[in-house]
Amino acid sequence: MPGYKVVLECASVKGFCPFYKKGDKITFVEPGIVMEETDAICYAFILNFGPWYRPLVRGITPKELGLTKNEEEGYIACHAPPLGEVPEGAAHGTVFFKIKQIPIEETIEDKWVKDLLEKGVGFPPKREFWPEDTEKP
Amino acid sequence: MEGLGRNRVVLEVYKIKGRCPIYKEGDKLVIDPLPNEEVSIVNLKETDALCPRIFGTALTSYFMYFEHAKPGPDEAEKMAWQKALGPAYFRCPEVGEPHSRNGYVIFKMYGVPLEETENV
Repeated sequence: MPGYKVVLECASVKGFCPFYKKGDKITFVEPGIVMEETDAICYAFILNFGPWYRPLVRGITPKELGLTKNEEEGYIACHAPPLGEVPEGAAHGTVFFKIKQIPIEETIEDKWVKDLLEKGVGFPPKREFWPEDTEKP
Repeated sequence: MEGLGRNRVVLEVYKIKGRCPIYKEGDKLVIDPLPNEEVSIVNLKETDALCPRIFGTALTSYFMYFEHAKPGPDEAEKMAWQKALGPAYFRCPEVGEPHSRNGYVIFKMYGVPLEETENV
């Protein structure tokens, strides 16, 4: 099933950030992050972006999600508040990312399902391939 | 008290820069630990509004404040500096004008010892 690669590109760092500089990227293809196309992962920012991840990789546009007014690309800010807006010492600056959607023919999940089908496991997986005690760790 | 912690966690709207159709300055989102349990719950009675767009933003910090927020002076001395948490500030992910219609809001997160609160 066609999907979208979603690239978050650091548009600016307004202040200081231990992780990102302008131009750095984080790339998502369902069901996760493509490490080879990602410069750094700030865990707090990934959670910040969480609610938008799935709609974006499935093709809902940034405009529909309110992440831009008229452009194709959306914008999102990290959780850190701007310098000067909170008491001194409580902020280090904000990182802004541009959101780009790139259509792709096959997602990582599609490749995985294809592999399961080729191996005869099926999708959803056939009962004979299920492990025992599926509810226990 | 046993369980997750002894503090109420409050997210208070500190500033609104631009447009927000949900919050106004001073609004609160209140989370309480359940007595004698390891879980917590949003206190809907004392919460003004819940914007799902900020859930992810605050996720990394909620649980720290249940246990370690706002220590008194004596207590602070016994705690590692990483645990002696004062208020934290964070912003919502909305960028605001000219790129997006809404945004943005700055929140202040802090803990309040349950003995200091009412209705708990």
